[in-house]
Amino acid sequence: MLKILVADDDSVIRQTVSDIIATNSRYEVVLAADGDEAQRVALLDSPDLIFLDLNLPKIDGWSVCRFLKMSSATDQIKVVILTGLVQGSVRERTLEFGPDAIIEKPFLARQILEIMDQLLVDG
Amino acid sequence: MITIGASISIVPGRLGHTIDLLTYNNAAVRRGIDVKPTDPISIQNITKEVNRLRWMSFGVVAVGFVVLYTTLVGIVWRGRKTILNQRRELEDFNAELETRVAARIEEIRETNFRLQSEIQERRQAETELSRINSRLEETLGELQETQRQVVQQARMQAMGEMASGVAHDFNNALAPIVAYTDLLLEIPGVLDKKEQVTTYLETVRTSAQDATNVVKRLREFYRGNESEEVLSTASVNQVVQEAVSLTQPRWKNQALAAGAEINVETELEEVPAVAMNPSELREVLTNLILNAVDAMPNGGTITLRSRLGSHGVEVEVDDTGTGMSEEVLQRCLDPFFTTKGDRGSGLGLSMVFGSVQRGGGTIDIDTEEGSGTKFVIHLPFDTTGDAETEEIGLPAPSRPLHVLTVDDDKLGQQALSELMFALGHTVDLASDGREALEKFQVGAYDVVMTDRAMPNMNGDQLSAAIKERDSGQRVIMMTGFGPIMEGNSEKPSGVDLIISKPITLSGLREALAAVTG
Repeated sequence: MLKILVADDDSVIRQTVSDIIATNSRYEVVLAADGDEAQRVALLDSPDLIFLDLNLPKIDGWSVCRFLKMSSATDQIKVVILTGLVQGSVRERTLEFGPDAIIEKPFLARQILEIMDQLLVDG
Repeated sequence: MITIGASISIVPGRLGHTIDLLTYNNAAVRRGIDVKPTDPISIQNITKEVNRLRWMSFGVVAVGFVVLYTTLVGIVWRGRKTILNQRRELEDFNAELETRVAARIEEIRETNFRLQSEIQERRQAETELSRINSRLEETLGELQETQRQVVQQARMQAMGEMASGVAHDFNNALAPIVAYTDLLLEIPGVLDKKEQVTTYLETVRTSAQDATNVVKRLREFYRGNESEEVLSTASVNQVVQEAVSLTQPRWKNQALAAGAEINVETELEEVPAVAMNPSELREVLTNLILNAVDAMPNGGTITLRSRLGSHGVEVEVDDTGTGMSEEVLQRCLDPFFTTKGDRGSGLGLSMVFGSVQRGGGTIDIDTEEGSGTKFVIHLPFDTTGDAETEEIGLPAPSRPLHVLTVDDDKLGQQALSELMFALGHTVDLASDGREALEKFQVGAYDVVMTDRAMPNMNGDQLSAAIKERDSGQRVIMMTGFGPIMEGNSEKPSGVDLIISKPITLSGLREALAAVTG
């Protein structure tokens, strides 16, 4: 079973993404509501992929992403940024310690499922 | 000569004796007495003596002359000296006087010169002062303009922040709709699980409603004050609820952020409408709620209350946050004062204060450091009728009014008169501003209703003229222009209410009730 971490402060989004993931029995879901929790869960539960909202309280999504990518304990976790903030600079910040993918809200269910398949091909 | 010589009684000795003799003889002769002729030697003596006497007398006279002359000369001489001295003294005196006068003149000249210089300096200073003064006035004007711009910028910035927050929230609301519908339609097997389908669809519905609310919030900001044009009244409890839901993302997020929870409670009583613009009141409450959220970084409770006060409605925003110190309390309503460092514009509370003032109300602040802050807003009742302008609410039945209508459109005026009669009022007609003023001087009207666009004197001018004569006169302006024009332009001074044509019965009733209520 592949473990997917869904980190978003909006409970409805967390629910939505969980429900989408749940349609595929290969995956199990863990949740986080803020950046601090996201980092903790990433360290402790070793998920395979994280859906990361940018607008997280306590520690924002970009900082969490850098943290995960810089630390050898977590740099193998696939990071997919989910963002409702459509800014030009979002693209630019994909360079250093950046995410593996960016998905803009609102997203189709299929986008979630496809990106997971794409990034976790090797299981 | 003898007589003369005889009188010199000091002539000494023999001569004297001879003289006496001669005198005696002379006298005797005169008296006819016989006398002895004197001795020839005596006569010689006498002649000698007389000669000697003669020479003596000459001598005496000469001496006398000399003495006299010398004396006179001496006198004259001394006289001359004295005169010369006096003249010299006079000259000296005169010279000194002239010197003194010259000196004094010089002094005066100097003083005059100094005075002139002073006057010159003063004049220059005056010119300088007036120059500085006009520059100061200019600068004041510039500062006021800058202040206006800064306030405007802050407003724009606040709006910009709101807008980006709104965009974010809107996307969040859309996400479940897009995702779940996609899930249901594209992923096989999902549609078969009926319970799950229902749950998903319920979420879709809720999210759609959230999205609508987000759009509503956006509309409030760009529509501003223009929306509630004619009757500016607010239904307090409704506005309170709106403010609470508007600010929900902030106080809800805060709950998750610090792991601290913020509760928002409302204790609302039945209260009548207040004479304040609803969107302004909403902005006020939003501001206060957000301030309360900022004051509770570790969570707390915000309580909003509404109740009947003595002269109006009281609305409270009560938090359990950090409270304000005495110093902060004194300054918190000042523009540009903030305790939030760079993040704060310092304009929130001053805008709140301005809005409440415009609504005819007051603010009380009750605060204690460490326990929290309570803002109590007192708003006067709205005395002009129903707060719901969309409902066909019947205003209180009004007494019969005597109305003056002014319109250059005869047909329109006739139609208006019919409506007036139907409502039980009496009407006088005027077809232009001049006629209206004539009738106004003579009659006593409860209300004057005038058209806006008229030739010669238009409605704005007529209203101003009427108010000049009687500032308490109620004036309603009718206009055929679209609602947009009325909404954007400000009510001209002198006009208590604007209504747009075509005028309906209920519209007329409400308008009349509004200005005479």
